Amino acid sequence: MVKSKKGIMLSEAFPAVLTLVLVAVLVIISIYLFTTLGSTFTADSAADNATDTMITQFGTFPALVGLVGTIIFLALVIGVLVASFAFGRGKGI
Amino acid sequence: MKTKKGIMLSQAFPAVLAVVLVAILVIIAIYMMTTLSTSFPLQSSGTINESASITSTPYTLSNTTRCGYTNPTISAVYNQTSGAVVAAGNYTFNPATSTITNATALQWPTVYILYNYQWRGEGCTATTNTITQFATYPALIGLIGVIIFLALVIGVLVSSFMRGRRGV
Repeated sequence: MVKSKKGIMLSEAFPAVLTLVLVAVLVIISIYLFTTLGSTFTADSAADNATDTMITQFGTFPALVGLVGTIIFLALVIGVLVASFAFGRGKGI
Repeated sequence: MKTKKGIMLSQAFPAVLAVVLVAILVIIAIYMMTTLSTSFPLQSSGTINESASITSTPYTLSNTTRCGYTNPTISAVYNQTSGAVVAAGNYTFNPATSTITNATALQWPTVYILYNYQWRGEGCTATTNTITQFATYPALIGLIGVIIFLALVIGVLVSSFMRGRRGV
């Protein structure tokens, strides 16, 4: 029988948010590395253009990281609500 | 089927502790990213032919919103129509606010401005964008805390006054 899970448990909150922070820092460091790498290429060369495109693309990731974080917190809200008031045997929050 | 109503008092401390740890983690992350944004080295950049006007209204350069923007210097100002240089004595430039103010009674409604500045790069921009996103989380953490405490209230009420109570 398939057990449906509803939301994130409070015990999973810290690892989930820590993972999110690590991903955010990784994206930032990547952008900085691409910027440094791009400065070593000849201006307007294929490598330089590719690096600039990569920086532009990676620049959209912080907003997506924010979206993931919002979803994590909303899932936490649902998880706490369900664990507190769900039918059936509660296994705690 | 047994219906669970609320959080038991014995679960209160771990629940609130989890929320506190997540809150501290978010605050530390924001502080760390704020420090990171100012640690990126300054890089030089320049703008050529920014369309502007030197009139009775001061003009503010367009790149002032770039992350870590600092040390702007005007290289030249050209009249767009005639191509003639607008002499530096005809305007005053305030580096602190990056505004150009007309110093004469003459007006140049369409000019090109060439200027250089320094900023901290795309890494700094990504960091400030991430900080903006993380800044929305404290409100959500507060919401989770409110739900936990309301569930605690209900849990204590139910376990205190329900039939066949087994303690709080």
